[in-house]
This record gives sequence, C-alpha cells and structure tokens, in this order.
Amino acid sequence: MNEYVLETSNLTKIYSRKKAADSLDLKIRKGDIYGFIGKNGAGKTTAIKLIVGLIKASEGSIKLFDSENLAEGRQKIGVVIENPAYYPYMNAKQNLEVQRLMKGVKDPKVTDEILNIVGLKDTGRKKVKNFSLGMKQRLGIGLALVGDPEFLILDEPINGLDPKGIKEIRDLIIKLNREAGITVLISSHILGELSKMCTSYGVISEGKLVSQTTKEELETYIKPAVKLRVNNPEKAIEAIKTELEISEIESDGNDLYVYGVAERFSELTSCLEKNDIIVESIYNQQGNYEDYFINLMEGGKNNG
Amino acid sequence: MVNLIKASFYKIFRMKSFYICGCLGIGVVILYLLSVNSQLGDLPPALFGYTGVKALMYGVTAGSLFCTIFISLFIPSEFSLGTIKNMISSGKSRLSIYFTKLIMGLFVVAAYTVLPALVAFSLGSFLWGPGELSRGDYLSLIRMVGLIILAEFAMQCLFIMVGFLVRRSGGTVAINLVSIMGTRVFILPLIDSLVYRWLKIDSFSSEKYWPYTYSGEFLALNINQETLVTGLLVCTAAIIISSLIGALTFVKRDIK
Repeated sequence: MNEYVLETSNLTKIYSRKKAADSLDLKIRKGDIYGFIGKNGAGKTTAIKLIVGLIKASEGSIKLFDSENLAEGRQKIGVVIENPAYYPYMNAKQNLEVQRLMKGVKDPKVTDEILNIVGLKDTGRKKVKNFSLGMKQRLGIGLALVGDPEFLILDEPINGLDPKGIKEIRDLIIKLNREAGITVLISSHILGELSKMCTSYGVISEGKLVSQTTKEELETYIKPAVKLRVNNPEKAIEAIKTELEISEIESDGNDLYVYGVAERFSELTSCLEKNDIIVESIYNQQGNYEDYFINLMEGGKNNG
Repeated sequence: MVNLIKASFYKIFRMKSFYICGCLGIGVVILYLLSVNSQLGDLPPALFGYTGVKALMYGVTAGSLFCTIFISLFIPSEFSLGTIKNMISSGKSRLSIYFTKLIMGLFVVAAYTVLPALVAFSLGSFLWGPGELSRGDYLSLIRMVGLIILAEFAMQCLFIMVGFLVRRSGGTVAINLVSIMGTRVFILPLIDSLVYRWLKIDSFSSEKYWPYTYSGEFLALNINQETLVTGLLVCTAAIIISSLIGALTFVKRDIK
C-alpha cells in the first residue's frame, strides 16, 4: 500500500514573472482529509489545477499514487474545481450518466447509488439549472465520485453555502473518508470548518507552502499555555518546575510559555510571588486554529 | 476515446439546440419548396426542371448555416460550463478530446446535410414527381451528397478550431457567421488584389482555396475532374491544417 496518494516536488507555475505556485512540496497521505488553506489568491486553485492537469507546470514534478504516470493516476481521482461543472439543461441523473459514460463505468446502477450518497435521489426530472447552490455542490461531488475515485479533490466546496449546506457537505466528506476510505484534499479559507474534519493541513501563502502538518502535530503547537513576562526567567522556570512539578515550559527571552497550568493559574502566581519574581504580564493563551493559520497565511513562521 | 464519443452522443441528443437548429434547416427547405410551388401556380413544374432531385439539391445545403450555429454553440459550451475540466481532470488526453469533437462535428454535418436533403426530396417528389434518373445518376447523387458533406465538414473543422481558440459561445458564433458571410465578399477579393499588386499574377483566385466554395461547386451531378481534384485537396488540407492548429493549441494552452 502506498503511503502517499499525492507528492509534488518543487511544483512551480509562473504567469508572466509572477509565481502563482512557488516550489510546492505537497505530501498527502492515503486516508487523510487534507485541508489546503490559504487566502483568496494564495495559489490553492493554481496548485489544484496543476495536480489535475488543467494547467502545465513551469517546473517541478507530480506523483500520484506513487507513480509519475499522471494520466493513469488521474483516472483514480475525482475533482471539483472552483464551481461544480455540470450540464444545466440535464437533470442530476443525466449529468451523472454523462460522467459514467465518459469514465467508461459499465454498471449503470452507479448513477442511482451516487444520487443516494449525495442525497439527490428525489430530484427526479428537475433540471440542474433549477437546483439550489447546495444541491449543485452535492451534484459536483457526485460527479467526482463516478468511477470509484481513491482520491477526491474539492476546491472551495463550501463557498456560498448556508450553515445547513455547509454541515451537509462536511458530513458527506467525513462519511466518504471514513466509510469508503477516500482520501480527500479540501481547499478552503473557512478555517473553522476545516478544523472540524481535517486530519492534516497545508498552508499556502503567496504561492508558497508555509506549513504542512498533521492534526496531532498541530494540536501540540496550539495547545493552551499561560504566557508570562518575568524579570528573572531562569529562577521562574526553576521555581515552577520544582514547586508545581510542571516540566513543559518554553522560554523566549523574558517571556515564558507554561503549558498545563491553565487551571492552576492562582497556584502559579502564588509560586512566583513567593520566590520574589516580578511578573510584568501574565495571561492565558488559548489554542486557536484560526489564529495559528492566519499567522501562517500572513507570513508568520512555521511553528512546526 | 470511445468513452468520450459515447458521452458526447448522450449529450448531443439531450441538447435542445441540436433539434432546434435541425428543425430550422428542415423548416427552411419546406418553406422554400412550398414558396416555389405556389409561384408555379398552374404551370407545369417539369417546364422549369422542378423535380424531387432538384429539390434534393437545394435541401442538401439548407442546413449549413444552422450546422455552423450549432457547432459554434456546442464546442465552446464545454469551456463556458466548465465541463471540459471534468474531462481533462479524469485523465482524458487533450488530443482525444479534440478528435472526439471532430467526430461529433462530422456526425452533425452528416445529419444536417442528409435529413434536409431527404425531406426536400420527399416533398419535391410529392409536389412535382421524383424526376427521371438513371442508375448512374443515383450513384452521382450519392457521390454529390458525400462531397457536400466533405466540403461542409472542412468548414466545420475551421469552426471547431475557432471554438477551441475563442472558448466563448457568443464570440465563436459571431466569428464563424462573419467568416461565412464576409470571407467571399471582403477577404478573398482583398487577397486577390494584393496578389495582383505584389506578385503581378492576375490569374490567381483565392476562392479556389476556400473550402466553402466547394459546397457550391460540388452541387452538380457532373463535376469536372479538375474541380473534383482541387476540391478534394482543398477540403482535405483545410481539415488537416485546422485540426492540427486547433488540437496543438488546445494541448498547449492552460484551462483557466
């Protein structure tokens, strides 16, 4: 079994001197829901278009399913880019039928099964042009599911949806990942939503991949800490370690980050006071996905 | 590519514009023949050579304009709807996508040539009698329809190329219709005058190298050999050159 469904190396796209994708080294593990995060114009869609072959790379290489035979690899991928692409004059089933014929899927029952999965089985003869935005997004995912893809690439699938629609799409993606074992790359700038479903993340800013991390690693970066500024950091560390039996302390000059004391705030202040350490500032720093990602997107360093 | 062709046929038979353009081509034939018939009044049609065969010769090119309109809508629609992305991202090669569109173009040309011709022949025969044809004439008639399909297909290959270059239905329809109407009136005479001015060749006629010319030239049971050979070469060259330009540009250009 291959560990990675997608690996890119030095993937670069240059549009008239501007690097829309700059030396991207993406790695997506089999079975992950990979959140691809970046501001509008950061290069998410460009990277996805490079992966699926809509645009040609200026430099770099792509491996799909551990192979450089991209035509073969792309047959195992389902894609929704920017907006779902469908024939508005057809109904949902007919759109799926076009996709089934194009992908050479023999079994015609596939279309009904997919309609069921994406919750469009009751749309009957209703033309897609009359669908709501959420229904169109679900049809887009349905089209991407034709041919049993092992890897689903969804570019901004929750854009413009109402909260109910967002939840439906999220539940669908989680279901496809857990029940059908489909690896998913989902790009978005709605960070709160991604944090509810993703198992790994890549953050892109100005065409560059500024961070790539798993959910577990991320949780260690953004766990809550007490941040304090003291006059004597060495003495403070010693006191906290010995008296409060806390070993997880990071220092940055006079700033200390003490982990695992959020509920022992008064104990911590008493300890410092007892040891004649002057506290200039002290506050609880909450672990926050959004702050972490926004910091990265705005050019902050990769904490990982 | 077989899968792409199957999917394209499925799409084309669900497009209203396919039927509307086809019906318009047939409608024009019917209206024209009824109009001729009413003008004849009590005069014997045979006196003016009106027969089912003559009606067929009119009907065989009646769908041409509507064929151009349909092709100009059908080809760029994949770009404007974004469905071309579904094809490329599922691993289909761009060359196979382009050649599928050519095959669909050939099918549409054949349908829009043969159906109005059959309707014209049937209605003409009903109104004026089928006309007398020898076995050889029937073969010439079949050859004529085949040559007209070739000439029309050569033009549609140019229009398919325009569709792939422009990628917008409105722009493609406009360019293709203008090229049908304007090329013979403005561009070809301009080329002839430039060739005369610069190269001093007064026997040059650029019209001979414009495939659309042969939609008219092939419209006869007895075509002279020179016209036949030139026509075949010009149409074949138009098909090959426009397909190469269109396909290679499509392969090289990004889909945004």
